[in-house]
Amino acid sequence: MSKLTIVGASTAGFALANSLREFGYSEDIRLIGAEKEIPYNRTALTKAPLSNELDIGRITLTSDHELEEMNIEFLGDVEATGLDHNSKRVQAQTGSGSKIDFEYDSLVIATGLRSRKLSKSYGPRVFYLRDFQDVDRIQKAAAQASTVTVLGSGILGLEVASNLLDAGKKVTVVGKSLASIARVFGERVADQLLRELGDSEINVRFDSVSSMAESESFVDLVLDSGELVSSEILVCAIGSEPNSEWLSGSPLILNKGLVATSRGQAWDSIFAIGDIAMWDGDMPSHGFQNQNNAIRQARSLAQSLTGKKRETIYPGYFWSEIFGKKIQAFGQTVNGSKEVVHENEQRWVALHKKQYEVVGLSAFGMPREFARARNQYQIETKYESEKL
Amino acid sequence: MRGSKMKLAVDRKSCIGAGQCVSVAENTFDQDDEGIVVLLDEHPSEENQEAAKLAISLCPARAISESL
Repeated sequence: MSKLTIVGASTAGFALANSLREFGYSEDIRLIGAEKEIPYNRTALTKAPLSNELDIGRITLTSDHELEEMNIEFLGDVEATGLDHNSKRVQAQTGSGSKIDFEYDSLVIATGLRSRKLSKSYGPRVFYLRDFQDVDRIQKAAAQASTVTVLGSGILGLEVASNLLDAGKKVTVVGKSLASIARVFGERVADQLLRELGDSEINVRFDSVSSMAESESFVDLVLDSGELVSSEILVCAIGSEPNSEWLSGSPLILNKGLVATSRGQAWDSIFAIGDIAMWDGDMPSHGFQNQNNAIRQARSLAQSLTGKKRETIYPGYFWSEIFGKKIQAFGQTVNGSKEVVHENEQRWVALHKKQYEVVGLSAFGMPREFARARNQYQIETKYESEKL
Repeated sequence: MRGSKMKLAVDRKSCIGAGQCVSVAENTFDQDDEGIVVLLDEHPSEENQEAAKLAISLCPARAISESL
């Protein structure tokens, strides 16, 4: 039977199904996910301490019972492998290898991103972190290890490093710089993270890896400086890339993300939302891949599909938690002047201005004041009028 | 949503402090210093109910729920 079919059952995919029901959509909805677990909150994976066993029940966004009540047909452990837009069919494969074919009326692509991998494949001491199973594997390995190297000094790398430090591990971070953090959160946040890293017990090496080898008990990195960094496990956080192979051969356009109109349409009867989607008007330089954007796009598409008035998609909101402090950024935090409005020791909220207008906010360890400032300066409203 | 019968509950254990609720419904939600949700008003008045519903829908952890 053909149905509205959502491929990808993480934040965006589930938020769409949920919002469609909220707005009164009464047709059948099929939600297909490559992971076994019912939809869960991915960002909670790296916020939860890696020292404790992570209980999937604590981070799920729904339950079997609720999915049934909402009449959402959820199929987990099913990975899309191909798309035939002419016959409106998605080809897929289950975890056990059997092939299935789904016919759709409308298709929503929400397959998101995966970890970028090293060019060679390695053995059981080398890890990536993107989904629940990854965290489970890292926790089990970390429980047996006292030394860990994190490759990558972006947000994910520092989240993992700070988390493993809390778990009592001896942690080394190897990365190029904090430039990717500065691009999203602004330089003030990056500068402070650099200081806090320096003050912490984490060893930081801003260098490149010239060679890497995994033995029975260790992973050895040789850096360009010649230094040997050796640890029992290595966690790679070297970026992400779209899960888009299954779309090859289709006429959909991939350019950093899956290109779609400002209403999320990528082709006739095909829509894209979440981390894989790049809607017209998104700002790739600023970063469109975040949880808030995924939920906002899902709501906006649900409003379109049910004939409701659409809410505006706001500029990016990013947040993370490192060394036990929330770091947050909203709007444009990269260029322009800065003015600190709250400050208490190493915690602060800064306004980012262009000429005299506040166009963004960043904050370190002051979530409450950040939220207040975000409301006070009404950056959303300004952005909206800019777009008109 | 007739009348003012809305009843809210928050789950502080699953809250991850993204602050979405406070940014859309500051009359109903607040955060503590760690960013974890604080429910200011279990029964929001009619004028605050729409914002509260948006907060429920935007919460990335689904830590806010509505009961009858």
